[in-house]
Amino acid sequence: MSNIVVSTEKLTKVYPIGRNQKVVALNGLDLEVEEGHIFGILGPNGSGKTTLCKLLLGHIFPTQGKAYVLGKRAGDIEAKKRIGYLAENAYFYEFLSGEELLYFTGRIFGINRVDLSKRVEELLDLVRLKEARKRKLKEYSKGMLQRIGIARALINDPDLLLLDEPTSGLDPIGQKEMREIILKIQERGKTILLNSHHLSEIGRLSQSIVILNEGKAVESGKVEELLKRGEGMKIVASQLSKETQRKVEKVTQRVEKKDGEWVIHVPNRKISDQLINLITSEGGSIRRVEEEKLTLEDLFIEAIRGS
Amino acid sequence: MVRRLLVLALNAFKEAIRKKIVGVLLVFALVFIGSTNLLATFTPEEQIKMIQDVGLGGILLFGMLITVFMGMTLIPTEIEKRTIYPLLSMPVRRGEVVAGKYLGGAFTLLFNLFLMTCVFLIVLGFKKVFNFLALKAIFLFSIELLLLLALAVFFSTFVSPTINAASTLFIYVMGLLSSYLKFLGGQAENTIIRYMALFFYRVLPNFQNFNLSSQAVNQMPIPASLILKNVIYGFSYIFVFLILGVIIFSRREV
Amino acid sequence: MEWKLRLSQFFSLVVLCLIIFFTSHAIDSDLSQYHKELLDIPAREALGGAILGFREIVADLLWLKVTQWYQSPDWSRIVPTMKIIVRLTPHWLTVWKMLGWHLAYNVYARTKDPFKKALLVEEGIQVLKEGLNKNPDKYDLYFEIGWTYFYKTRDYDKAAFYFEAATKFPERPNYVDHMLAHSLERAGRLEEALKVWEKLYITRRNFDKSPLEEEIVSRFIRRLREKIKERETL
Repeated sequence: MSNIVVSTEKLTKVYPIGRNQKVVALNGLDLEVEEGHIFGILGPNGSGKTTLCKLLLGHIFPTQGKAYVLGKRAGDIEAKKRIGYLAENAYFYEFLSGEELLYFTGRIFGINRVDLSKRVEELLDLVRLKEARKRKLKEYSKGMLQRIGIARALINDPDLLLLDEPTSGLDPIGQKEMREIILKIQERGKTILLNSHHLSEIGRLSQSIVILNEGKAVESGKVEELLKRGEGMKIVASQLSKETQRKVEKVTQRVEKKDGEWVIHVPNRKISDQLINLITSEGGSIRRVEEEKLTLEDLFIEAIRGS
Repeated sequence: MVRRLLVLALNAFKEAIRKKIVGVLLVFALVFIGSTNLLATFTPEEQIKMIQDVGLGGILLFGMLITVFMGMTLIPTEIEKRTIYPLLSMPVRRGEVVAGKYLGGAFTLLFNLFLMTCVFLIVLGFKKVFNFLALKAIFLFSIELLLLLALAVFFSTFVSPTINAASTLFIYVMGLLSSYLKFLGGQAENTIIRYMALFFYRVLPNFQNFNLSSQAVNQMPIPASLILKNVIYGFSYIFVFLILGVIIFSRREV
Repeated sequence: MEWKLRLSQFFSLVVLCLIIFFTSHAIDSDLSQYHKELLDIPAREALGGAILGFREIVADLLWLKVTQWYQSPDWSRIVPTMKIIVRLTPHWLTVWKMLGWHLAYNVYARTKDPFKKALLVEEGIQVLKEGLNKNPDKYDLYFEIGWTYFYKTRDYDKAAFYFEAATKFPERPNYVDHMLAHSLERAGRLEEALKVWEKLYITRRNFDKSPLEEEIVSRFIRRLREKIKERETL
């Protein structure tokens, strides 16, 4: 059984706003992230994604419940020594150069001079910022800032990487490069928490996800298993009698009437064949039969609507 | 911890020294102090006295302004510019952030005081005068301003820069008036007012204690024991404000 | 662990507050005179900048005004302003000396009423004594008081008293001792006056600084010896 790197128990965060008013940003969240996984955090705006990241990093404190990171309470200094963090729209000290930022970060982590020097070279190479190393950060473009940000997050060779919208501001090539970096890191056994709006990105990279809505986890688990739930067949039929409809609904609840046609969703080919036989034998007409695959977008929308 | 503190302090110094307001105030201070050389008066003795009075007054005034304008933004700038997030995600304690920022601000302040003192000594040098007592007075100014900086850093852990500046200046002026508070307290007939005045007299730092420029210029003795007491007094207050700032910032959500 | 941190912070604060309390008392006793001087500053000047620690500068600005008015001279403004200056900066000896001088000499000279003249001399001396009270560690105001008694009231015993006090200060110039000797002589205390001159001669005090000093001292020693001899003969 793999180690649990991040876990939360009934994690709740309530923000008071004004008199006797409050916002529940997270509501009793239970979460587990396995070691070596890329874990995606999805959710619409205001769902609690950023709140969760802040709680895990100790920027804010839970109203109720607990959060553990790398075996320690969230915000613990010992845990932070093994964490790398890239904030959304990375903000750094403008007066430092890219190289100086990395050295500053490395010295905070207590990396010795020789190792730090080597590490800085490696990272500048990784993020393709060797030529711009001496330029001040205020002269960096958004993409360059993201790249130096990821380099900064990797300076301590962290066991856990928290990435908040890592491809924000990057062009398609930059996004591809960022994805490659993330996968390389994961191949080395690191755990990555990925907070992103981009479903395709999460879908491509994450092994597990949690979908948050209004502070609650509405869906969570391994991506593969979640998407498998939505796999099956779609039968579009017409001219179904009431009796036939009743019999179909006994087999599956997922039946919709659309433009005079019946759209029937079934989990597998066997049941699909059974229903096709039933419909045709009772005088109904089969328009078409299609294979169905659930996308992450479908899953997301279903989960949000369902909650 | 010491290593981290120094790294944070050096970074805070680099940031503070680049602040335009600090640079502008420093330039004004150097011009102001330098121009005391042009004071034309009755006798050379009076001119030297005025150069010292205006020079020391300038060092205190501009030092105070630099301290307040710099101190009020040390921590809020981190939060406003959101550089606090990557900072707090590193293995850095909240208290180290407060102390590191203070140290960086202190280095900046002392550096500015050093430059102002150099100009002051050069101006006196043109008049072939060297007043060791003036250096003692400037040393006490530096303790006073380090205390003021600690106060500004304390406020910066929980209020905005504008309210910080107003509060720091208010307490500074009240601290300068504290002898009057004690006197008024003694005169008050109402017991509550008397005790309140005495309470504020004891609680507020008495900034007048650090201003011995009058003694320095008029060649009155400034005993080492008095300087030592002021140093202990000043640093005790500094640590009080920093500890309070750490306690507040440790509980602050960013 | 957190409670340990909180406890240590609490104890640190308590200890620091105690240190502040005790050092504050200690500094108050050292600077009690200084704090009294602050309370003595007139309200307008106090608010005008003295409070912020710039009382010396306020005093300097007022002094510039005084030197300007001295051109006229406008004594109705000069004297009150100088009284404010000495309250702002009680250790600026020049102002005390000039104020005492202006009252006992300049304003005196411009006053016709003999009764008022006498009062002005007395006021001048009182001002100098007030300055002396605030600056007992310098010879200057002892000398000024002695000088005023010597020349304006011709009270040579009192003059001698103050000149003698001034001679306790090693940094004094020789003319202080000269004036002591002259006061003693005029008060009829010839032997004491002679002792003063002889002490100057034996110690050769500041003889190297002034070429005429030895000659002056020798001359007065000879003169006093003759006077004493004459008195004994009579």
